[in-house]
Amino acid sequence: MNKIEIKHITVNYADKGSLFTALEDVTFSVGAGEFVSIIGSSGCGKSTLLSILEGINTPSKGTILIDGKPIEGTGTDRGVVFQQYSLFPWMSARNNVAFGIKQAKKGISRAERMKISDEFLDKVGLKSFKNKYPSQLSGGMQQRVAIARALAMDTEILLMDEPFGAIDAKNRTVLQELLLKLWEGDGVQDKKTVVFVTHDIDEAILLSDRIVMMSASPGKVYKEITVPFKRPRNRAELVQTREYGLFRNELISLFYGDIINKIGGEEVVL
Amino acid sequence: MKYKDRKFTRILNITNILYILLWLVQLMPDNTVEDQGKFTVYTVVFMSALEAVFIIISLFGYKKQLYNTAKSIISTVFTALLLWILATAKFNILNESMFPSPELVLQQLAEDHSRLINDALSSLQTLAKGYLTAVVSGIILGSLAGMSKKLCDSIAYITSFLKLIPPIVYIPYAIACLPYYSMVSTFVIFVASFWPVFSCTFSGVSNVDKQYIDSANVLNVNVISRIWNVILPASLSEIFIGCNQGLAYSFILLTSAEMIGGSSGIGYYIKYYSDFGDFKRIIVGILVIGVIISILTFLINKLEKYLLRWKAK
Repeated sequence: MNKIEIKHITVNYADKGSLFTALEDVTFSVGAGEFVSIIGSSGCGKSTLLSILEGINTPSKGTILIDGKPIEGTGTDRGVVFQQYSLFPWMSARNNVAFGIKQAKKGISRAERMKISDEFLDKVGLKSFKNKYPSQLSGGMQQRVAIARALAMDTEILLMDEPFGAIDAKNRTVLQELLLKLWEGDGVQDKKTVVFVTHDIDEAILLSDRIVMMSASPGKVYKEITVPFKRPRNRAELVQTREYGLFRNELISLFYGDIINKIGGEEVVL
Repeated sequence: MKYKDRKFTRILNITNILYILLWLVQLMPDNTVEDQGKFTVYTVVFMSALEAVFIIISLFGYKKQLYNTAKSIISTVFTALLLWILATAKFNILNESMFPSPELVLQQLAEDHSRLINDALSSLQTLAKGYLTAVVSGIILGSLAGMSKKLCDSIAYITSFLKLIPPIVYIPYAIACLPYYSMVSTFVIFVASFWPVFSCTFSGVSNVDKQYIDSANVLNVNVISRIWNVILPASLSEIFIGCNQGLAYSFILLTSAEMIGGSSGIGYYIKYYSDFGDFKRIIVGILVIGVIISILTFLINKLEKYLLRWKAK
């Protein structure tokens, strides 16, 4: 059974009297334990779609089902990592994670929360930074804490909205590999279902089982592509293979092909 | 070499030089009637006590910041004291009866100390009642108003009108309505400090970054936890601006109220002796108020620094 079913989602905004359609009839589903990336140029509504999944936005039409039940608002069955500011700056790294755990698992003791918090901060390599405040951490470290919190909450679904979008290229690679390692994990049995929004093609290929490509104005599903590479993946090995190059080229031509179609398919100066 | 330099400046610095100058000034002949032929016990004790504090800090204080603060505060006090002594007792530039020398003022302070402590405690008690009520109610009502979107605009207009009215104009009204004068002071302090706390909390809460609200929402935070763990911390620095402003206003109002009709407190002390033209006691009162305000401001700043320690420096 599909874990998440997105059915005919349409979002309209009234903008200065005229109706603006951000998303039009978006339909796709995500299987249990599947890692799906939503990719598209800026303005295609991918973040709007994710905010509906998160429950902080409501669609004009359509429904989203999780385990067959329509979602109503936010819920602790979904862990969320934003691009920035997921953390509360007035809580230390440790308390940020512990606060998430407290919300997800009611009635858990303080000592237990702290123990789990420390364990997950250790997993993301921030054991010695646990008492620092977010303002004392770099952007990359803050995202590690946000990931640690989302994982420590132990939700079945993980929603990530361009989590590495504001990180420099070098650290982004490190974080992608960390996420890959944590998600693939040891027990392949109960992997988390992940919906991951990005505009980075390489990131999408490396991480996901399937890629949902969206086109802009109005935001629609343009193409769904299954990523054919076996897991566990290793970036260094993967990028050297011929298949990777071919697959990447295919995606890029689809991606830019969409843009060319939009502009008129004639002269495109990049 | 560097260490030696430091040792050198620990002995030969502005504070110690001023201390020696203060001693030398004591040797000059007095020029006023009241000061003549008097050994300046109180001045010497006072300046030596400050110097002792300074020496202890420079010997045992390991924090550079503490040493620097002590140095600048004590050297400023010494400079003021020096100029004061020269202008009064030594050269008698100012009117002798209106501007007594520090020795006479300090002597008065020592004589009146038990009374001053009572007056100061009475002032602080009034202040605590009015100010703390204002802070607590200002924060609670300000947060509630800031969180309700419908009320936002109308409250903003009403607040900006009401907070412009100088609270002192409520005194006649309060005197007419309230049974005891002490309640009048408390009430006026409450009004004076309520508006800044309320309006700063209100603006802080209504402007909390949407990102934090979203973050709280996706974590399914309940209303109480959302207020306590998200909204209040996010608007804390604005709330502190209001509290600081409120404290400043409440002092102005406290002393005014005591001077208008009180029967205790430092404001009353000043008012009472100004009727007799006792300028020594007026200066004593002014100094005591200054010291109390400084200590309270210092404490509230410490609290602010502690509660906002998570902010980027």
